[in-house]
Amino acid sequence: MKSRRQFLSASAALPALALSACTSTGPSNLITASTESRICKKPGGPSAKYFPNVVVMTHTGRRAWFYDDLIKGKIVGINFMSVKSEEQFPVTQNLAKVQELVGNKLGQGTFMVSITTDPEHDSPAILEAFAKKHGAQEGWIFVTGKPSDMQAIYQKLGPHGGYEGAGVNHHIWRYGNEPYARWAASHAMAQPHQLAQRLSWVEVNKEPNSKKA
Amino acid sequence: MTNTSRRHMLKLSMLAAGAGVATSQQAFGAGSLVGNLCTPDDLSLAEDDPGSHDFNLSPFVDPLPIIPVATPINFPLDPPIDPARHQRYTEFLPQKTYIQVLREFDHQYHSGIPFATRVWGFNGNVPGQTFHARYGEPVLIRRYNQLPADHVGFALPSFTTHLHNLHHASESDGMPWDWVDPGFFWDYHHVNAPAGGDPLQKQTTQWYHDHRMDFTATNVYMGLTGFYLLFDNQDTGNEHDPSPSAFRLPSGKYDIPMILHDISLGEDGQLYLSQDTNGFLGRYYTVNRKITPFLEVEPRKYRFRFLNGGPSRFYELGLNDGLLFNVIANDGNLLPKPVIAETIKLSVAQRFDVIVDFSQYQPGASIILENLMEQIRGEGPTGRKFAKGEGDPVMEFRVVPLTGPDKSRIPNELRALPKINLKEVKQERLFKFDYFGGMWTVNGQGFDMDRMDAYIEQGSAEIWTIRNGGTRWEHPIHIHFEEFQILEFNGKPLQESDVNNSRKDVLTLGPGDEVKLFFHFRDFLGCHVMHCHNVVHEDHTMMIHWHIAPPKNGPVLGAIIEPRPVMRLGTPPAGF
Ligand SMILES: [Cu+2]
Repeated sequence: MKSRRQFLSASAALPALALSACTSTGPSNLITASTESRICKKPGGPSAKYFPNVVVMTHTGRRAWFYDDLIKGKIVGINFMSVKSEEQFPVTQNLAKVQELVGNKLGQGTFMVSITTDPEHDSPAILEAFAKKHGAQEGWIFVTGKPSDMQAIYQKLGPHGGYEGAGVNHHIWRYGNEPYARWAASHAMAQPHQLAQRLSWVEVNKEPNSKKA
Repeated sequence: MTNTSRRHMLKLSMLAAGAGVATSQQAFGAGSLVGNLCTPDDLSLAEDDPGSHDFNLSPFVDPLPIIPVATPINFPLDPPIDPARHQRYTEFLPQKTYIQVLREFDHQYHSGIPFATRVWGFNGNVPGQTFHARYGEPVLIRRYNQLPADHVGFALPSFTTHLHNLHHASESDGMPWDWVDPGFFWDYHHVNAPAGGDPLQKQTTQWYHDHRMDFTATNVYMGLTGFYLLFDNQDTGNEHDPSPSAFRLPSGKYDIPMILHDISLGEDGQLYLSQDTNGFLGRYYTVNRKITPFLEVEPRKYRFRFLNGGPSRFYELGLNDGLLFNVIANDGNLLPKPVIAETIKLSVAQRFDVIVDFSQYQPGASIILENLMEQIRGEGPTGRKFAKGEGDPVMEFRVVPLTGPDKSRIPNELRALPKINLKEVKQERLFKFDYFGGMWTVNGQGFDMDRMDAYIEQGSAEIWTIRNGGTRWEHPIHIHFEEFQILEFNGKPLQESDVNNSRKDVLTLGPGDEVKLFFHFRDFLGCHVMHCHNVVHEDHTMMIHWHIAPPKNGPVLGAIIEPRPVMRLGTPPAGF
């Protein structure tokens, strides 16, 4: 929780951000301006401690709180990529096949989030073209942002605690169900049907029944 | 706060609390306060993880829990066992049947924690009950999943229980893909017969733990572990046994299985697990799921069965008082003769059975079991070792008056090793454990449940070379179903006195190590796995999948069960 508070206070210092981190339920609400935005009273979900809540840019050019808007309340598959390294590590190509198998669930509770490790090059516009090239549908979000923020995400979610060089470690594919705090990982180059199946492993049919003290 | 001072703080609070115990006060005297650790700034200790709360706990407050022994049921299973799901069922008809129900319940890890911790266990026990099995007495264990389907937390309420190192068919081995969801059950058939019918292949201390694909670390960490002990006409479990074949090892209440897990708790008292793919180090040591407990011992011999339950930590255990271990078994296999050791190294899943003789002590004496291995990250130890008396306290032995004569013995000879006949070798294979692209790999690939990595002919012997391609990581490699003997370690045979001159199922690979293993593949057909038993590495795809196929010539033992059995719907009977 400490790190979350730190991130929030740090982001409060950012000038002129019009965010609705407290109220948004998904990326489509991101643009709603709110003067409340910097006084976030809404508690994090069960997985808040695993995710930096930094401000990122999506490939559609929207600002988003990484945790609040892209992870919270959702089943998500998360991977690292960069446009330049796709040739050597064709993870996006593989995940495009996963997207097909996820089918109608994509954008309906289940999301795919691809995070660039090369934010200096991968601008929202470049990511938009890249997403289009790979046939990304609504519900598959490519993410870039301030290099230090992207590094913070990598250090938390990348392999080896983010210790290794960011450039080539594109084989981790994390997946989970945020409201139930279930998280695991597999290989981003695994057979697409195996990755799609994993997203269903973490599904829960009932409402969360939090027994937390 | 620097890492060094963190460690000091931890030690200080331990010291202050231990002040009432004379010998432990000495043991953790000023010497331990000289910095043991000088770590580069980018390295972190388990205690530095913001998710891990410091409850300022005193050591040696709670007694070591003695794990209850499982009792068989005396009524028929409903629905009945389906023999078609098991290889060689009628040859090994179960003589005892057990039921275990996996549930969530509250557990007190230490009486100083103001919260109960939600854990998962078996019939309300964490660790699960200890099975006392005998050679020649096949058993069937039915396990029901009554875990909460809507559990909130890192673990997945879907289990598959692997009986570690037991020699039994694939469908009873708890394969990573044989999972059981809430509301379902699975029957595990354990034949309790030595591999190849060879009495030299008999085993002693085994254990069961969860093996759910991608969720093994989380589910084991939540509590899904327990012991399975095997007895026979030599290791009879009776120190008074008049039979001339009996070893008369310390038995009954003097034979104590101890499972080590290191854990961290959040500020709400619930188990905390990080996302670091190197592995996880907990803030607190637990033995039988109590934080740094004590055990009252009589001045006599004890058999302790130490098991490193993980998830990732390596141990070097020693007794602070110079007391020695008589090591009698490695990875659940009696050694040819006992090995006297000052310390024992345990990587995850490894077991050592030791006899410790407290007879030189007077009531009131205190002996501390400590971990001398320095480790600051999940990937492996730093290579530095703490001096005796300066290690991390794991538990305390408090000597109380003797209640009767000690009739137990430490035999000079235990169990000979099976002879290795290299002429039987049909195939050699190389497996390189490494990482690529941020994921743990075997021969460059992540685990794929649909890809068969090796076909092995039943009845044949093979030599496997296991290599650690990494420069920083240690990997405890575990191979299911058949035990191996080490032919060469980094190009050299082991010395005869080496404690690893044993049948084994866990191989600890340091950076760059290369080891040649010999084994047979016997008695059943079908799939098994090999994986790193740093369960965080395992969950991050450091695993392969191999298959025993019928021999080209000669008799076939067992049959592939097709289609592969799936979980069965059902709830436990009344009373469970
Ligand atoms: Cu490993």
